[in-house]
Amino acid sequence: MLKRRDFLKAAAVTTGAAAVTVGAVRSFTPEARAGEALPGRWDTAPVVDGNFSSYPPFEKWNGWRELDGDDWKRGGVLRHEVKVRDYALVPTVCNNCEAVCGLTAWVDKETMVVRKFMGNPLHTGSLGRNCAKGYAVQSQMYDPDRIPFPLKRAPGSKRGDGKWVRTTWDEALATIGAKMRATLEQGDELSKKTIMHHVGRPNESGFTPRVWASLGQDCQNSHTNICSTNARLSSVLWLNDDRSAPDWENARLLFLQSSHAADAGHYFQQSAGQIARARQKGAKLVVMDPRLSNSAGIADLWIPAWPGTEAAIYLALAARLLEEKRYDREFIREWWNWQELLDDKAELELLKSRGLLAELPKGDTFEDFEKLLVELYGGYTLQWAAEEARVPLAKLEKLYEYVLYAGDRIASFFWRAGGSGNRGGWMGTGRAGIFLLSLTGNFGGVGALGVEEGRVIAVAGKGGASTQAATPPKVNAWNELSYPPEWPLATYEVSFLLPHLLSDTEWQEKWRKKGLTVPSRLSVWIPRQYNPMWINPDGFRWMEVLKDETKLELTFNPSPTWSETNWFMDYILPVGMSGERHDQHSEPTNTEAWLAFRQPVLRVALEKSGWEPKDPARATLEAHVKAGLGEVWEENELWVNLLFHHVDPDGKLGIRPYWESRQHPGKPVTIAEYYDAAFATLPGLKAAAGEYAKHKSAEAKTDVEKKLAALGERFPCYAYMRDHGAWTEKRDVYQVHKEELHVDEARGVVKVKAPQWFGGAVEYPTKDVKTDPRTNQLYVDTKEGRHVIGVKTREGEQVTGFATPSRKMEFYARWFKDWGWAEYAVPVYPRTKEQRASMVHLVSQVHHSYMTEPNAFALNPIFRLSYNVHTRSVNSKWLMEISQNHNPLWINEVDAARLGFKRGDPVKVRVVDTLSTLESGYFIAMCVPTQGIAPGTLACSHHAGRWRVVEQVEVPGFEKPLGVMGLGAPTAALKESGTTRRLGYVRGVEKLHVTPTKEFGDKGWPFAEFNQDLDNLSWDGLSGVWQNAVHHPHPDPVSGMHCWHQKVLLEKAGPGEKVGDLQVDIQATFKTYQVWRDQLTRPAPGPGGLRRPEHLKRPWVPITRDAYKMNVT
Amino acid sequence: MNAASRHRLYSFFSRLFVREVDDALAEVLEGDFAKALLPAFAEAGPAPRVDLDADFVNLTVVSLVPYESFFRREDAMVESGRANPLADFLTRWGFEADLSAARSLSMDHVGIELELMAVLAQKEAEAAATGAAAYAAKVRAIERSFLEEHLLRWAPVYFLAAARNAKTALYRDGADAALQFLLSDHEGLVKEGA
Repeated sequence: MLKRRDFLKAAAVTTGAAAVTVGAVRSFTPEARAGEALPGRWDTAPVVDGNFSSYPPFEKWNGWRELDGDDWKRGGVLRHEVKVRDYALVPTVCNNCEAVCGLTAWVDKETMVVRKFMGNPLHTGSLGRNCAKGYAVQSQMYDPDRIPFPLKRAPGSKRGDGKWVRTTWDEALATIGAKMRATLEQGDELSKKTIMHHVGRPNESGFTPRVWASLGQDCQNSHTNICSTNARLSSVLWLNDDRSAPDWENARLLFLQSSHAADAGHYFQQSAGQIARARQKGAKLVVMDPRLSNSAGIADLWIPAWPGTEAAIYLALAARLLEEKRYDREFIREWWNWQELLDDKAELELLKSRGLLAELPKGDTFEDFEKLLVELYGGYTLQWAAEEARVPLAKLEKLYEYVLYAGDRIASFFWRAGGSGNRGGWMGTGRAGIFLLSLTGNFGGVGALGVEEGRVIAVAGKGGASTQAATPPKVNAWNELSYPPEWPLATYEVSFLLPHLLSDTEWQEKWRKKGLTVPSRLSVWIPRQYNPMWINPDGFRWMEVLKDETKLELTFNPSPTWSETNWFMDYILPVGMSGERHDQHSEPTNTEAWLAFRQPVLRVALEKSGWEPKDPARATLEAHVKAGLGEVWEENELWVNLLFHHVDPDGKLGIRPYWESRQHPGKPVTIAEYYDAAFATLPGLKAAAGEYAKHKSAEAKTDVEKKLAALGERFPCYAYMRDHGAWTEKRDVYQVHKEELHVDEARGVVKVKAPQWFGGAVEYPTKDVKTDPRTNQLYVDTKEGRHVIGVKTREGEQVTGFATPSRKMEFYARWFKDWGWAEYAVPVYPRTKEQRASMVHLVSQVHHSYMTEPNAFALNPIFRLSYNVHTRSVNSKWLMEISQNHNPLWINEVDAARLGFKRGDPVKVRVVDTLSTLESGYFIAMCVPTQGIAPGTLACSHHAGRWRVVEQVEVPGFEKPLGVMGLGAPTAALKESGTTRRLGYVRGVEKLHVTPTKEFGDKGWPFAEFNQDLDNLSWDGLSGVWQNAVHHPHPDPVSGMHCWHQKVLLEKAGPGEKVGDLQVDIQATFKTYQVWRDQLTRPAPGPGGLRRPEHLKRPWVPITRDAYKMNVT
Repeated sequence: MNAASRHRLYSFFSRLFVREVDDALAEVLEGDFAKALLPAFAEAGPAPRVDLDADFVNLTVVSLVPYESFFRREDAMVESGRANPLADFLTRWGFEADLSAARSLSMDHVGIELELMAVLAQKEAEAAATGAAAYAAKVRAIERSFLEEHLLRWAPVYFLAAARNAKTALYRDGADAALQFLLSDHEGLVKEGA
């Protein structure tokens, strides 16, 4: 029992009873509760549909107050105060991969720093979600090693000496502009091929191509041929579309061929979410790849096919469908161009002569075509395919079951290693894969494979209504350095061979003698945010050319960070990243057509607080200086200023009008002017933006709000995108091949796309449109021949069909035959040793028949890590922490035991080319035996293995040395002897002690406030290796893709050899390039004396039809 | 007992269980008020500050969990977010908790809840002093509802446990006194028809 106390007695004692509470409970007045200014108050956590939301309601994005996360992170009861942050949420777009996920920057209005990046819930592709790379944007923004001002190679030093001086943006632009102007003033053909812009991942939809078009240069180069051109060719052959676009979310079978979309593949993490939702609904997941990826680990079926044998499986499954008549006859009858094959007797004779057909079809009916299919593919049995791909037959039987189950709802994305790793990867991905999938009518519908067309919005090049001149003329030049004559069907530029082509004077002379004007040098070379020396094969060949001032006369990299390539630049010009630049960007990540707007978030936040730039055309640079980020600019304004003020200041070159404001003659166009015009080309966005502008004007109260509202009235589309960051113009984009032909009844014309890629739109009188009774093709007879413009469907509708010359899905690619590849004009794959010899173009350079030595393996270097994208993430401490030790050499346990390798052993990987038979050298990698990889194959991601030659750079006149990739790159020593090059690590990543400087303010570079933890690094980076340097260049003879996989011979590392060491003979790699080129390609000119078929996509700058003509002797 | 006296008592118990003894509290503990309220503690004499600190941590961090949500949630988790049971009550009556001042994980800490009672009692006292009897009665009703909806639903169990686990006379006697005071005060409010 408790003894009752006399509280009255105690309460009566007033001495020593002072109120001693800690003041943990406060009352607030009703006025304060409604206001925003009361210290300590924060907004109520947002609730949507009964659940807490990660994002405030859009109406509060300009002022959202919440508790600072650090107070909780630093230990709850031990903290000293709870800080309330007043945020402005500014939308932008991630720049760390191609998926274009939306972001919101949470800008602290008190200090003008970005406290965190979250997703953008208004972005209908990413739905407010991000992967680790998205959230890591903040650590990249405040990376202590980011370059804070323009750097110039010190006068008198050589490239690679590492001597740098600080320069100004004005000096850099003046010097570069003068060089470009001097080049352009020459005005001859060669001068149109020598100012080269070379992008890594473009991550924008048209702005820069407009820049190069206005320069009149055929010099816009890309990285695509080390990424995906084989896969793209496969899509081009069937559909003349850039890439297949699946409807993951509604599929019954999710089929990933070396695309690990559920964990790290293309369009990760958007695809991953859609795949997860489909699986919730019962979809089956199949992954075909020799490596047990995370996607494969959660799949219903893993098919570890030998690299490059995927086509065998597709054709065998197709053969089974044909044999059992389980295919969609009506779909094929209507949408395949089967008549074209039956009508081409020469092609049929060729197939017969090569043993693929026993006899020619007797008639020309669909039934005859069906018989032809059965015969053509009858020999492709599942048993044979299982042996060819080295997978258990039961797995293929299971896959067949899934195909039957899913029918016309199979989503796939033919990308990555299957295409990019192997010679003939274009056949091994979509050319054979779409054949299989479309047999079941699986195309264009809900849950099916679709096309990119209609799902991508590219308007960044369409802001011409804001400038004095709208659209630059087509360029009348053909750059042999981007599109060499040997690869007339290259899907994109053969850019990975740029240093080889510049070095190969024999090749240059050969074509000059034939009459071509081949450049031997570039006057200006700009690897925009790109690190080609590190990421391309044969990296030391790049290094040779980068150092050669006779081949690359002036170089500069608009780049946020240091890189291996930047070490050899003349200028490094610091431009911004995800939240520091303007880009319009759109990708086909789902079944919608959406676009997103990347923005310099600090600039937007400053402008919303009332700040104004001195020069509106340099607002981003001024804002970044103001906010302490350093002299960091963006490319949009950089190009406009460079062209307007320095390349063509007097307008004599005709460039300036494309960048001169229409509203303010004599002034460069501003971001708001340009993008408002570009966005206004979208009717849906334009309508929504108009309403939004009215709403903002009506609710504006303060002077700043009124000023912003006035800007919004002038530039409603820009203002809408600035505030929302994303817009969805169309939903449910399906069956785009069934869109009605555009007929103008009043004028009696039909408007269609010209047969040429750069032809624009053409109009024909509707009375001239005819229907082919056999094919149902709609066509017009022109002086250049029959122009097929669409298809009349079974229902009698006149629709556009596909973008192919036949407007059908092209089982038979007639143009492919016309350009010299008749034997591959239909899907095929060699079944015998003899056929492999005659079809060598389709045989992977790592086919198992080449693995003749007991220690020979097929190496896959190109699987993606979900937290690293090639060269983009070395500047994020967060991502580096996650990815430490993630560059091992995967080897099957059985193989490892056979060779005596244990986990962690350094292994010497000798690289051999199976065509030239040359050995390039070796690299030392860290061995990890696992059951998660097919025997005989290896995997070692080339996303790691960065290096630097110094830890920091002294810049005269600046108070502190600049760090160089201090978070993700060990220090290495380079050695050179004859044609041999070596690299070895000498020191790992070490702790940093980041202290403030004064120049860019307390919170400015090197961002000490955000980097107090760098004295506690847990990684050293010494487990990776720069294997690309030892890779042979393998240009696919058709697509120009670098076929990444390498044949390697394994042995134990020798005494003193350690992980990261490498050696390469650059003469051997150079010869391999020549052997692949000379033994395998079939050079232009093609039909009509052209350099390339006119209907094929040819990124990036429109060129004239004259430029297509290859006038050679 | 009048509201001013109740305010003093709630203030004292709140302070005793919200943070360690500091100089200000030590001064109170040496005074007549504490001697009258905590006779066993007064009889035991002063303990070293370090022992008191250790005991406080023992009773509020290590051995016991002084949060309402811990006692009332089925999964025995401390709710530190907006879903905390106290959040609605505070918002409804125009209060907010300063977790930093309390060095607390969440707003339903026993010290904060006791301090809320102290604040309410003070408001009642101020109202009574200015003749606002109706307002004072309304506040008293809020006090009763808070006791019934929150404190009495879990704090007695906590104080019982604290009294048993305490290693110093201050916290043993203090926990026992706090428990008795809560029960006594509620009894008083009920009798007065609050």
